[in-house]
Amino acid sequence: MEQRQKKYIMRLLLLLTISLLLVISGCSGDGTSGQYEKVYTGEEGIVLTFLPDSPKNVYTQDESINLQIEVSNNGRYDYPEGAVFIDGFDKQAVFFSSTKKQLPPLNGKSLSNPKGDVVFLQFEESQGVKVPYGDSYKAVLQATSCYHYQTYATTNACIIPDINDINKGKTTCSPQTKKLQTQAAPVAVTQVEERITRDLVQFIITIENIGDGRIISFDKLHKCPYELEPKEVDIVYLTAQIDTLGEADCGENIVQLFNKKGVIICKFITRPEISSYETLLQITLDYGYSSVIKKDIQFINPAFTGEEIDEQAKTI
Amino acid sequence: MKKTAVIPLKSFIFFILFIIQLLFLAGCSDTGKSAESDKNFRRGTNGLDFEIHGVLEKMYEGTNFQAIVQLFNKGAYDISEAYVVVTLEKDYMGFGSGSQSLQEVPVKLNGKSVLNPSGDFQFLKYNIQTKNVDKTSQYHNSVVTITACYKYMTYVITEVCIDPHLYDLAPTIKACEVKDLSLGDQGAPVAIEKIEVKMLPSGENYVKPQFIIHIKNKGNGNVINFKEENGGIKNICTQEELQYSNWNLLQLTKIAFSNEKFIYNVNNKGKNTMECVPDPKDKLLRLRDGEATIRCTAVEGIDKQESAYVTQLFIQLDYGYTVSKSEQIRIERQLLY
Repeated sequence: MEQRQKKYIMRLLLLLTISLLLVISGCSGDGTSGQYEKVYTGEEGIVLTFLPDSPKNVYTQDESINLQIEVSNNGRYDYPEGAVFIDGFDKQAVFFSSTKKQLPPLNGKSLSNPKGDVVFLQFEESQGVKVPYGDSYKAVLQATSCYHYQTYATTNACIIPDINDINKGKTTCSPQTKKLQTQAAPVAVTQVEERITRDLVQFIITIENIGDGRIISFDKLHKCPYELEPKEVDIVYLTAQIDTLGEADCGENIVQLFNKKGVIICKFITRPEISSYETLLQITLDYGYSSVIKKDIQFINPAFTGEEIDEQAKTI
Repeated sequence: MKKTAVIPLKSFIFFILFIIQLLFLAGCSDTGKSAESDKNFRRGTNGLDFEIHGVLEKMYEGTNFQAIVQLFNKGAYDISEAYVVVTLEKDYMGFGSGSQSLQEVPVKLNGKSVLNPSGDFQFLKYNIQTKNVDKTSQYHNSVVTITACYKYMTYVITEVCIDPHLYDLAPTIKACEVKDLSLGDQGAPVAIEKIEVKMLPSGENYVKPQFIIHIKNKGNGNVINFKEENGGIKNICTQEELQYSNWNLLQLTKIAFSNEKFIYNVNNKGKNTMECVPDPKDKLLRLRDGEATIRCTAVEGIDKQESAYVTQLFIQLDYGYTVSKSEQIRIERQLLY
């Protein structure tokens, strides 16, 4: 009797496991929508990464640093122009032949290239590192990217040319406030609020810096990273358009961000002879962006005993 | 009936072997401390130190004894010039044959280093004879005072952030942040306690790094003038009364950063790229209440084209130092029965 009960329980467990597996596999779908989301969302643009052993944590006196930085375009914008700079160390002790490298052409993410392009930038030293005094020198190796980037965002808009249609209940859609997903770029349109007036449709567009870097006015990118003025950062150039209504009037098309957030109002003049309809609002953000990675490194002089300085002092 | 747990012999043997193996492994594990040389020898506030041996608390009049002075260089710097002076109460003690009140330390005493983690030591011997006590007294309390004078130095090597963009309002992401440095002891009685780091704007596109250096006598002795033109350490140490003008004087000999692109060196015959106030070439720096401050600034500014960077800052001080110790001695009259 007991044996039969055990068998029954075992069969029940097996059945449960199989059905659970079936449910899980059913959830995963065909993968297309996941892929689409992966490509067209994200918070990154150009991403710099130090390779695991480049730079190393410790270099010995006279050893040369062969620095390799992985540069990947993790956003959606193709061929962003820009450069990578390295600094943080004493140029009298660490001798890179060049501290600036232009970004090579990099395709952004797409359905055919879902991870975006990746290249490696190499910074070589013209001579080995020096430890001017003592047995070690702790420095910082910082890599800064400065590049031009764009964000494309789209959302549905409800156009009601005649405001009286709302009261009459003749509209096919209604104006809404929409929160948007990220757009595979470090700056994103996060919210679009639609308002209808008699002859106008207004969009209050909120944009945010969701990346880990800083926004720079794209026409001041040449001053990045060392010569920027306060008024040249946190500025985004925005254009919005609806196919049927043309380009929006967004004032100077400039959004100034405060605490990583900015708002702009864009207006379209509607044509009253048309009845309400739903269409696509297309927003383009144009900006410069800069982000930084850094690593603490140490240069050691194992031959230092302390007597070198005593010897020097005798001559003083 | 009560059951008793019986451990099989095989399991017991395995258990014991396992424990022994564990003990072996624990024995093998090395903390690494013993193998690695002590690179932090530049610690503490000692320089030359000494112990007095052989001076008994009680001695009879008219007897000889040998005072032994054991000198240690407990600091991190080598001593090439040192003198030891023994002072006795002339009416009650005198030197025996071969002993003089002033002894020049004949060999140099190396300080602590990677290769010599304890520093050098040396013995000096003095034959001393007690003299007769007053006829009206049973005993006389006296002292043997030993003074050591030596030339010493202190140097500091530290990392410092140079930021040509300190006053820029644009929120640049920088590799380092300019901040004042608080330093620990440096294996010498005189220490650089603190360095204030400033970036002085110079025109629109340059900054001049400035360092305000706070120096302190942290040892248990006094700083003395080491310059030969003032008689040198030997003369100062043997003078009965040390002149005020020779007390508490030291020299900032060298300061440099950016691998000596910016340097002030007292002995530099060429042009220094840093200037210090007060200028060490003109006069020595005087400690007041054991402390002094000197300000050194880069002569040429650093271009704003440069980014913020971490560099090594080197500062060297030179000075003379004196330290004294006394031993009480009771000279007793020999009673004749």
